[in-house]
Amino acid sequence: MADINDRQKLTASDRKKRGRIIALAVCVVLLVLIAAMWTTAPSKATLAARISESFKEEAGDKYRETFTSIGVVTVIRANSKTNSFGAGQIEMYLGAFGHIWDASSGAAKFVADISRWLPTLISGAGVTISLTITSVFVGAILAIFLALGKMSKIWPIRKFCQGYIFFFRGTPLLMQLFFVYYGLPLLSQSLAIQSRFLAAFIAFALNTGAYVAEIIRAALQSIDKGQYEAARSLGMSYPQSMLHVIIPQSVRRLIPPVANEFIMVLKDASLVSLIALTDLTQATKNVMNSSLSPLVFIPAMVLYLIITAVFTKIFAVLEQRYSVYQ
Amino acid sequence: MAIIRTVDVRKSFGELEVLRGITTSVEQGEVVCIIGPSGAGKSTFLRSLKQLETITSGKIFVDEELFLHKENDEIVENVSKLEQKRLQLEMGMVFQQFNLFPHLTALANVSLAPIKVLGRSKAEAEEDAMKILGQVGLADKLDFYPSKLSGGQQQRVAIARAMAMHPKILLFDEPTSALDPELVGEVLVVMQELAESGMTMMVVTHEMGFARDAADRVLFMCDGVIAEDSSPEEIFTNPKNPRTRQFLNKILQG
Repeated sequence: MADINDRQKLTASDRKKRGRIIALAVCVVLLVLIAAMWTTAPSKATLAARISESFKEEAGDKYRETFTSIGVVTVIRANSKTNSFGAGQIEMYLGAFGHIWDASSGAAKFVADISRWLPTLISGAGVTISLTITSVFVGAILAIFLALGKMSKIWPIRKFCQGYIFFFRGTPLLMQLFFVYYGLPLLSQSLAIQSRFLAAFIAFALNTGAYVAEIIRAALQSIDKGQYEAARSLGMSYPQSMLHVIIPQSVRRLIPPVANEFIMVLKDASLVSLIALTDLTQATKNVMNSSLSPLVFIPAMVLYLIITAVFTKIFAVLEQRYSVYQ
Repeated sequence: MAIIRTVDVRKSFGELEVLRGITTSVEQGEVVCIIGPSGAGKSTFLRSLKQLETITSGKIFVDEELFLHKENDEIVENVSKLEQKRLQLEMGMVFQQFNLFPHLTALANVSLAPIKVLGRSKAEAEEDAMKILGQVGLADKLDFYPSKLSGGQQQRVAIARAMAMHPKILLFDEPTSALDPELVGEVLVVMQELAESGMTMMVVTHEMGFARDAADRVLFMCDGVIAEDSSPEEIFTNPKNPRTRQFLNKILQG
C-alpha cells in the first residue's frame, strides 16, 4: 500500500519537474528566435527606401515619415500633412523577420496599426494599473478601520462607519468621482484638485474602502466563535486575540473577495475617461478618433485581459501562500 | 483548600433558568466529574466559571478569593479587572470542539499564550511547550498544523495548550464528545495521567468509565441543579436520587 502511494507521489513530482523543464526549454527557444528575428529585422534605412518616389514628390515639402517599433515589428508611415485621413496620402510599410510588407491593407495593416497604437494604449494601461493598485491599497487600509469601527461598541464610531459605508456603496462611483473633481472646486476654490489622477485616486480609494470594509467585516465574523473563546480563555485581551488569532485566519478568506474587488476597480477605472484622464479606455477612444478604426478595441481588450490574468494569478499565489495550514 | 467555590450560582436565558442555584466546591487535587442529561446546564455551569457565560446571580470564589459576585444581573462587589484576569488564568479550559488555532503549529498553539499573556521569552515558552507536548505524547508532532492531526491528537494539543498556562485547575467541557469512538481512549489516558499527577480537574463528560475510574467525586446535574453529589462508587452502585438512577440506567444499558 505504502509502495503504491510512494510511486504515485514520485510520478506526480516527476511530472511537475518535467513540466518545468519543458517550460524552460520553450522560453529559451523563444528567446533565441526573438534574438534571431531582431538581428534580421530590416533597418530603418531599408524601410525608408520602400517609400515610393512618386509619393515623396506628390507630398512635396509636406512629406513626413514616422517610425514605430514594437519588439521585432517596425513600421514606417509616410504622409503629407495636408490631410492625414485622405486616401493615397499615406504609405505604410511593415518590417519584421527580415521581410517588408506593404501595410496599406490586410493583415499587415492590422499588425502595423497595432504596433502604432500600442505605445498609446500601454501608457493608458499604466494609468489604469497605477490608479487601481494605489486606490485599492489605500482603500484596504481605510477599510480595516471602517470594519473595526462598524463592529465597535462605541456608538458614534459605529454610526459614522455605518453611514460612511451606506453612502459610498449606495451612490454611483461616477457621481463620487464627479463630485471630487468638479464639485469640490465649486464648493471652495481651495478644495480644487488640479491633478486628474489625484482626484480619481481619492474618489476610488474612498469608494473601495467602503466595499473592502464589508469584505473584512464578513471575514472577521466568519471566524468560529470558539476561536475567540479559546483566545479569551488563555487570557488574551481583545486586541491580542484579534492580532494573533482572528486576523491571521481572516487574511486567507479575504483574498478571493478582495481579488474580485480589485478586478472590479480595474474595470471601473475606465470611468475616469469621463474626467478626461487618459487611462486605457480613454487612450483607446483617442486612438479610435484619430485612426477611425474599430479594430483598436481588439488590442485594448486583450490588454485588459492580460492585466486581469496577471493580477488573478498574483492573488491565487497569495491565497496559496496563506493556505499552508489547511 | 478549595480551588473553586460557587455559592448559589444562577443563570437565565430570558425566561429560561438554566442554572438554578449551584453551590459546590472543588478541593485542591480533586477530580470532579459532572454527569447528567443534555440540557441539564453542565456545560453552562463550567463556562460560567470561565466567564464565557455571564451568570445572573451568585458568587464564585477562585483560590478562596472572590472572583465574581452578582445579584439580579448586577455586579455587587467590584473585583478589579486585573485581579479578575489573574484569577481567570488560574483556570484552564479544554473545549469540546478543541478550538485549536488552525493557522499555528502544535508548538505555536501551546506557546502563544505564555509568550503573549505571561510575557515569557519565546525560547523559554517553547521549551516548556515541548515538555508539555511530550507529556501528552505528541513530542513528534511539534511542527504539525492542527489540520494534519487526528481529532484525538488535536484534543491532546488543546489540553497541552491549557496546561502551558500552568493553571491551578483544568476545566474540561465534554472533551471527548466530538471524537470518533476509537480516538476517545487516547484522550482519556492523558486525562487519567493528569488526574494521577495531582492536577485539580473539573470534567463535564458522558464517559461513565472515566468518571468511575478517575473521579474523586461525581456530580449529577439535572434541570439546573446538582441532584446528587457523592463518590463514584456510591453514585454508580447505589444512586440515591431516582433521576440519577433513571439516567444511569438509560446510559449504561444504551
